[in-house]
Amino acid sequence: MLSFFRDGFYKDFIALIVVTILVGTIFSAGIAWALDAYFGDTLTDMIGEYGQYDIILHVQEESKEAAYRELERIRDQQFPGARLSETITIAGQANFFFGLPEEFRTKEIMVNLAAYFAAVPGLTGHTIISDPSILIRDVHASVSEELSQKIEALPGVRFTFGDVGNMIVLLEDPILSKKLEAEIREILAEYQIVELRFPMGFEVDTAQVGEEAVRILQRTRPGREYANVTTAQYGEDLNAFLKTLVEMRDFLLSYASKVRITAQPDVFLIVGEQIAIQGQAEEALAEGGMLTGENVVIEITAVNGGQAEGMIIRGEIAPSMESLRQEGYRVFSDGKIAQAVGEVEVENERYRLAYAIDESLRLLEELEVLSVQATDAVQNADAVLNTFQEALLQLEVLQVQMRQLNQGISGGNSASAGEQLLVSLLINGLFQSLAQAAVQAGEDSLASLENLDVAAMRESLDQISEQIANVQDIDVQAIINQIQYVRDTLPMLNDEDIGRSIRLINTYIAGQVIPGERIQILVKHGRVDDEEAEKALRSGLDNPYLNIYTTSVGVINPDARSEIFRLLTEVRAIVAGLLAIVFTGAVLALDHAVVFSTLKYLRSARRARRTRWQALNPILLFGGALGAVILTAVYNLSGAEIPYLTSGSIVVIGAMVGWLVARFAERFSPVNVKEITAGQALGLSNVQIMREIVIPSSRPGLMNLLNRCRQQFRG
Amino acid sequence: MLEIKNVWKSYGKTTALAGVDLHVGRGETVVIMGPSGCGKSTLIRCVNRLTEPDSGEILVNGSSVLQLSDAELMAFRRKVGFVFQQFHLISRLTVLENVMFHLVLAGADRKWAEEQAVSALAKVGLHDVQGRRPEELSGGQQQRVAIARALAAEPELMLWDEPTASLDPILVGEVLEVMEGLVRTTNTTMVIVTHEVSFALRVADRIVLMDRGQIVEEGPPEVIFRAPVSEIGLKYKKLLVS
Repeated sequence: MLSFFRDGFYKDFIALIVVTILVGTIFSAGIAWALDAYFGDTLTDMIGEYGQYDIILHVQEESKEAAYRELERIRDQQFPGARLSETITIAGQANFFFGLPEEFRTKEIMVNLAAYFAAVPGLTGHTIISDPSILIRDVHASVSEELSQKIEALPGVRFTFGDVGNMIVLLEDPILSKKLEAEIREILAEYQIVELRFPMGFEVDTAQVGEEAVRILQRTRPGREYANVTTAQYGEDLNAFLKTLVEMRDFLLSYASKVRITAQPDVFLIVGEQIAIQGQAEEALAEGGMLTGENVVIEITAVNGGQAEGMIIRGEIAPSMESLRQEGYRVFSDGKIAQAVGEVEVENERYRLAYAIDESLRLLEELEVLSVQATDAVQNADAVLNTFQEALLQLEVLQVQMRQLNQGISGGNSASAGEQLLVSLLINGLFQSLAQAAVQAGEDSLASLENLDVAAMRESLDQISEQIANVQDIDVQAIINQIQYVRDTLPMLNDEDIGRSIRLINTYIAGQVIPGERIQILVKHGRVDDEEAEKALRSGLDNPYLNIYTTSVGVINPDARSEIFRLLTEVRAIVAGLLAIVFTGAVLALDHAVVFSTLKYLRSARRARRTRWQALNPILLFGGALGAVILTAVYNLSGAEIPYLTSGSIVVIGAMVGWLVARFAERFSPVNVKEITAGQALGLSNVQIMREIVIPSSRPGLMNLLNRCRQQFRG
Repeated sequence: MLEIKNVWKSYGKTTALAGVDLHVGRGETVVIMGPSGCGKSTLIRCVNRLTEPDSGEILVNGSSVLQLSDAELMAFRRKVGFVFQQFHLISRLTVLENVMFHLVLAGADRKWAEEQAVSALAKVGLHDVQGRRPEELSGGQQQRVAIARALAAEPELMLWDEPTASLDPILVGEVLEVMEGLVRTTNTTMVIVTHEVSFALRVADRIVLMDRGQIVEEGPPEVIFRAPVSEIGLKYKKLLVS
């Protein structure tokens, strides 16, 4: 293979490689640079020049015009000479840049800058973009003032101001940015927040436990300054949320069907285990069978000896006031029924509740009717009482008259014949007997009737009447409406929904999603190791579930603009890298492959010794080496950088590309074997064959272009 | 002039030449004949090392061809004309350029080379096609251009590798006529591989018959075709009689 290059072609080839690398570099770097410039310009249009603006105001798109007018007013009246410009609208949100004239960039104004724009219509938020500045994100409120003083004391810092939990350090000169960033980093490193996190459900007096934690740390980790700086807001909000969750879970639990499992003597149930019952399925469950859609699956929530409680997590039982009693079986995760575990009793609480509400509604409706009827009854009773009194009075008169009449009959007083005849008629026979009996009886009855306390009865009636009136005063219809409302607003949840919700809430409450209550301790003049602090605090507070985290009091945020431009630079480097790889592959396949094809033909014609391993064929190795050289050179010269790809990786990629192109060179660029043979037979050297026969017939490309000046016969 | 001694050549497990010995005198025209695959083409390709023999010795004017360096080999090849079965013209060049380009590349004056090329083309009967490209010519014309290309360098030795095998029968005649003319008018040593029996009979000083990589019979055409001793010779005689 070396003889191929030896007679002069090596010069052509070296020139080709150099030009290839140069062209590749210009190609890769150029396109990447063009992209970088394009995006850079676009970005500048979007976010303004460095230091040009101080704040971006985010406004609802529909209020854009009104907001702009208000911003113009603020500019003209409060910040004369300020720069105002509208930029892109994204997702229904318009954005305005506002840049203050230098004389307005004072601490007093910057601290309240957002407040100046509070009345802008449709304002949804803002972003401070004053430059040159350093942004310290999430500054802990406990040290904000102290940090501000320390940072403002640094030479080169104009002043600091806060913005939604962040601190912006305005610099005098952007050149000082790196230096001041390092100094601020050192200041931040003097502080540390040790955070104690308690599992969910722990009721903690943050003040008391916080002070105790401070004492523990002072005792076990002396030499630093500690202070309890727990902020209450977080814990209170979380507690409220936790309580809501717990209430919701309890409500759901009471609303769910009650499940009791009585285990067989030899069966031990465990919490979380799943038990299946027949449910509404027609066929009873049997060991070895499979679950169906009508079967019910229960998850055990509590175990007490042979008794267990659970909740339905799949399926539904029939609505009934009666308890459902069925045999329970263990069930595998694939739905296969295992051994019987005991009797399962399920009470449909929701149905009972709904039933009770319906019955209550019925009762109320009946009560309303009843009160009307009772009023009528009282009125009737009153009338009866009046009639009774009148009747009693008449009876008394009759009694007197009868007594007088009886005396008259018995005494035989002289009377007229007519009177005697009448009396004899009245008292003769049965009538006389009856009259006598009536008189005798009448005396007793009347006595007893007279003894009746009519006044008391009337009073009672009046009271009843009053109570009925009271009942009628009750707005029963309102009660009915509300009970109907309660019935209608009962959650339309079945047992499966409830079971899943309870499991989810339990997961949250278990602390897998929501952290528990926390206490924050500020550490000054030194740092505390997480593990050491955890060990000391767990032991000191006697709480093995306590988790300790240490955080900074603030994090220096890379300047957004610099970050974006750094990102663009990275993108440029990545694009350049990808283009370098593409270029190397393309130039090898479309241009250089003809050299590999010629080499392979010459090698076969000369019947060179075949290598045992095709991969070690010198031409393929040469292709690999060439690919590695071109790609590595183009990659490095174009300033390319692809994440995770080291220099070694690039060499390997180049070698692989070159090897593959050499391997399949005849497909990429076949050579005319007859013409080469003719050249050989005519006594042409390899370089002459390449220059006059092979390259001129190959694809237009760098090689062809470079060859033109050496070619003696242009054809 | 040309001496081939015990030359062997194999392609994998197939033996193409099995110890061939051949001597060709200066100015002699030797026609090599034999069935396809008997090693005729391989033999003449070994002479200018278009194919490298596995072993043996090839001497031209007493110098070993196989010992030549790359530069010496190129110089040697310039003195040996080679006519291929399928012409092997450079498609991108004109007829004239095809005939002269190797002379120019060898360092000859361009004008002289052009004159040589025109002269060579005249020898093969092509006067008016100098500016055309090979694909514009008939097969016979293309082969005559190839012959002219070989003649242009005024070679001491001409190797012909079945020059009419790719031509249709109508065009074969014009090429054979040119070849026959050349044999009669020049004193160039020629080794011709062909299947053209009558042509061989007319032009050959000696006919060499090959079979299975070996020379099975050689001698003057009148002897070979009149009283052949080899099986191949008998077949050719039969062919000639018919």
